[in-house]
Amino acid sequence: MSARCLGAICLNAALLAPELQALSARRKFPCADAVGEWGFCDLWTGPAWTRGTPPLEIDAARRELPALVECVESVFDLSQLAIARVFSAARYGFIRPHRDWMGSEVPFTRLHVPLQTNPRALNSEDAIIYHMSVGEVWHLDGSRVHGGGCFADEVRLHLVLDFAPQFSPKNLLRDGAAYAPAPPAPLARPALTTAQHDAVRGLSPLVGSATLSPLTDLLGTIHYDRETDCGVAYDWLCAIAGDAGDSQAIESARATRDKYLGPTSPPS
Amino acid sequence: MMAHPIGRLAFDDGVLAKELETLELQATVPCTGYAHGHWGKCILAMRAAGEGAPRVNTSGENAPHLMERVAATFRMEHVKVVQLFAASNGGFVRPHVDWKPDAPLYTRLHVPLRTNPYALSSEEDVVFQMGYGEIWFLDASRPHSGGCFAGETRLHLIVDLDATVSLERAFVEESEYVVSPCRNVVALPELTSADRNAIDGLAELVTDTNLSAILDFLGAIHFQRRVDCAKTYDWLLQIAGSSGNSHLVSRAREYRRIYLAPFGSES
Repeated sequence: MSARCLGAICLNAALLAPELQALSARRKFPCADAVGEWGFCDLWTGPAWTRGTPPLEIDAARRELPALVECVESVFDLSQLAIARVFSAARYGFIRPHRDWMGSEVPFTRLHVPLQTNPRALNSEDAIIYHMSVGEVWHLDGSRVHGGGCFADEVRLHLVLDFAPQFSPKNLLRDGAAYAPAPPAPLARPALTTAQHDAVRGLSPLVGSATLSPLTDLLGTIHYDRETDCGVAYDWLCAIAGDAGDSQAIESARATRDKYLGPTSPPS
Repeated sequence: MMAHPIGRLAFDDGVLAKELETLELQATVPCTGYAHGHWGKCILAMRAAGEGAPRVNTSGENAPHLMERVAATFRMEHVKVVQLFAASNGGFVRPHVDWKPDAPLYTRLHVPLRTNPYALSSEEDVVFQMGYGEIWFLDASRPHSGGCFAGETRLHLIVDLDATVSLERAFVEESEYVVSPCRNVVALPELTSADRNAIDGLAELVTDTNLSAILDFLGAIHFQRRVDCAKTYDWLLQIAGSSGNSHLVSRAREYRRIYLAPFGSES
């Protein structure tokens, strides 16, 4: 299963406008995997919330975001909702390519619904780049390597709904007729040239403890503009560190790859 | 180099460590837009216009020992802001200047409260380490940066003084103002032609998507090579210029203006 647009919902732009302003102004919490202006805020929790933190009452969200909550309650079956959040990205903020999980233990069923976006708000999965439009309901497969960001000054706001893992995407929409899953329309990108590949590998003289983290970020952006798999950023990182012959950098690069893509077999 | 130690702050180390744990968990606000990675700050006290001393906020109230030591060391009527800067996991602030030499907003002091060998600061082409409890004067009109390239969090106390007050008069006991040379300069290798080729090669990769990521990468190089941290922005402009994309050139110029000439001092 890969990312699928399950359908589209009608958002009332006039009613939502003040609520989007409120969401933009809310304090966002950073994510360890994110670069620049990428953050999230929790809105409310549902019956399937099982983590340690106290539940968040929907009534508080309803007071602050009445149009949004009413829309969500009318469109989705929330009986298996774990948490509703907003993921915010702006000014070239993005999340590093990563997997949310590996193996068969699925932690959640996740939907994204863009509330405010722009053409430079992009998502990636494996070797494709795509754009989610306002009101589209997207199911993401977090076991695949994926990323996302907003490469413009504007703020991109996605409503993100996490449901219990056993809850099939088919049952999430109250109106079954609205369920019409379709794959993303990939954005065309030019192929990575030999010169570009050489430029990537040519960064090895500069690898060190200070540059490794920003280098990881840089490599994690290349797939947005060049036809390549988003996970290849970590192969490049390991290869660059290997070219440098710096054992500490090699170890750090491998640890970074394992952190974002999952443990690999021991290096040969 | 203008940065240098000017005294020491003594603490009860155990009490301070406990207070810092609380502050680090509860109150360090991440900074985006001018920092890379894990770099955040937390204001502890601030003096409003017309007030005689900075007002301690809730975060500051959670650190009574730290605030007591600050008040016992500095004349609080000259203190404008007391805050913490936190960095970890490769987090650093982009090379920048805070004000023009002839129009300082504050006199800025740093006091490392928790540090490690991977916590580095820079001024122009010098990278140095500040020791625990040392009070450092930093000339924030010069291009500078700082970060922590290890997992442990580096925490610096920042005391911003009225710019018009001489340093010795900022101390409760003027005899505690003791200027000493910077002894912990990090020896770094010079930039090689291979390094330069690697930097130039980024012209092949630069796009609107990754310009800010390239900026962060370039901004970290001076922590590993003896080169002026301000060179970051010259490289960025050259890379953007090589792309032939006027929008990228414009963005690179704007980055240089924001970080090196925020008050219009650059020609």
